[in-house]
Amino acid sequence: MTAVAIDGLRFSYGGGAFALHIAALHIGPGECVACIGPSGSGKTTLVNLLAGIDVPSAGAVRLDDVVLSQLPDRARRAWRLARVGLLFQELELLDYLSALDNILLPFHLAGGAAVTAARLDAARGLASSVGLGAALLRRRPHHLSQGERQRVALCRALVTEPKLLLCDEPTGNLDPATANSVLDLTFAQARTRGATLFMVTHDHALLPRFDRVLDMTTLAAAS
Amino acid sequence: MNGLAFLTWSHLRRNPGRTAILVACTALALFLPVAGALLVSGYERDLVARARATPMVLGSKGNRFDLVLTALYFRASKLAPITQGAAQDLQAEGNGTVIPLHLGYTARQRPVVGTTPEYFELRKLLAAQGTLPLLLGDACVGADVARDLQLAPGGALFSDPRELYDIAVPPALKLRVCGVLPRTGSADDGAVFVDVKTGWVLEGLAHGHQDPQRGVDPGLVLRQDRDKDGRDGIVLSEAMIEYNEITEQNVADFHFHGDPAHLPLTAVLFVPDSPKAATMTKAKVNFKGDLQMLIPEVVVRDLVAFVFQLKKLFDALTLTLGGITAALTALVLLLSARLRRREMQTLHRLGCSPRTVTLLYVGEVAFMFALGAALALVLLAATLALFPDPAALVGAP
Repeated sequence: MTAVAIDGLRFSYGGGAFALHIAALHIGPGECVACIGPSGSGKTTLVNLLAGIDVPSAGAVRLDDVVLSQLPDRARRAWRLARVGLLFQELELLDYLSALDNILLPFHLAGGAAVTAARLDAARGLASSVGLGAALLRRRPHHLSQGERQRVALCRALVTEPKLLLCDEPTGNLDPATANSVLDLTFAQARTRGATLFMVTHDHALLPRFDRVLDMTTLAAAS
Repeated sequence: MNGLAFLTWSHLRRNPGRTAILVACTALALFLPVAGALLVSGYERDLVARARATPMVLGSKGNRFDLVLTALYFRASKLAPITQGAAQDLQAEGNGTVIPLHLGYTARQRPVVGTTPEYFELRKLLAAQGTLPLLLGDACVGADVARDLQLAPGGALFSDPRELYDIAVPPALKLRVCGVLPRTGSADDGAVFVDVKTGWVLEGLAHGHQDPQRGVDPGLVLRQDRDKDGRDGIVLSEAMIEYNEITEQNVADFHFHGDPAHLPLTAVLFVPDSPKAATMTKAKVNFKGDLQMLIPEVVVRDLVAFVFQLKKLFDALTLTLGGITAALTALVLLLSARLRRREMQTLHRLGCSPRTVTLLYVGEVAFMFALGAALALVLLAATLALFPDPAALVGAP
């Protein structure tokens, strides 16, 4: 049983020189995987392919036995909203929404009816579990500290209870102490929910904490 | 609430300044031309309606616009007067109803209109309070005059003396308010109506003073003799004080000097009995050459056609203003779109389709436009409620 399976993947941006080729990559359910590699080696591209944002020109990306790369665009988006949690380096919180509404954003994007009372309670509970109290949830992002914003972004990635959590250098802008704290939370939440964690990082000091480390240089060379 | 609507509303709510400016710009860009067009067309409608309700106007030769606008709106003008004799001649022909108008005097800055009861029949006016002016010294005031000066039957107002420091001109006359006219939305609302004879009293052509035959101070009698017809004639000093109020006690002392046929009128409204009578009377009067008979509707339509050439300029300016507003609004929205590009990319990465992202932005623009349009409608309704009579708002021409 694999949570993520890539077979014979080929991808290139239209007209560009960059090309990514991954012969095989398998990640087990609940596994925490770090992805390292120099800039331009295709780490973010791989995250985009796993999220279904980009589609490979050849090969398949399979998530929980669903061939994501074969789904039509609409289905892939629905899948991403419901089943994939995304955590970005710049956090990408919406400045005009409160912290709570930022956490609920995937539900808002899925349609207003998706924000049920039960989900609202669950979102509050999730926020509370990472130390975001009711007062903080009412604030807008620019009234929160960097660490608090990081936690809001993490909650947004987890609120739909995804089976796959994709993190693109989420600790890139943080000092070591805060980075460790964010990582602690991310690991804890992913494990609590049984989610598979795939994190792109440049911080080699964090690598021992992962179950497995993928080096994009090696991965691409093996292909 | 729909998710997109929620995001749209949240974004607008968190940017109140930008939202308010764009909504206000949209509202004004929609409100100004529509309100302008409605008020202008209402103004035109009012002008033509009053002209149509006044079949014909007789007056001295000269500017036809001046004569018609003076007769319709009681404007101060420098029209040469015609005589009461001309009105009597017209009446004698029996082709219609003659309504004299004596203008040029004011009471508390409101025009005093000397006329006869036929004027009120023509305008289908009955007093809302009290009675129409039937007696010398009576005044029936328009609705606006009554409101502004807080007048009611039983009250009084003084005419405005033409020359305050010239004792040779008639003094201010105290007018008894006998009635108040209903609101008509026309020039009648702002006028003070008196009997035409009261108009002549204001002009000093009729006056009242102590009877020289009954115990007047002999020092005021300058000469006493008989005229060629054998009637007693008395010449009194100007020191003799004239009455400045017409009362039941002194009304009998008011009298005219000179030939009544020579008494002046500003204009005469003429209501012909038939189209044939209208044609004949018009041709006859205009053929004589010293007077002119006009059809107000024709004159006003000419005037409207001439004056409303300006409306084209106004429309062009409004269009330019609307274009500039639209361009500025588009610029603000474009800049806003650029500022929000990163947000849109985030929404796209989270799972939003490009269509949904576009809808989010277009929805916001549409919402602001709808809000602006709603505000414009509210402003329009308020304008029409506050100014139901455009002619009263802009003033008579």
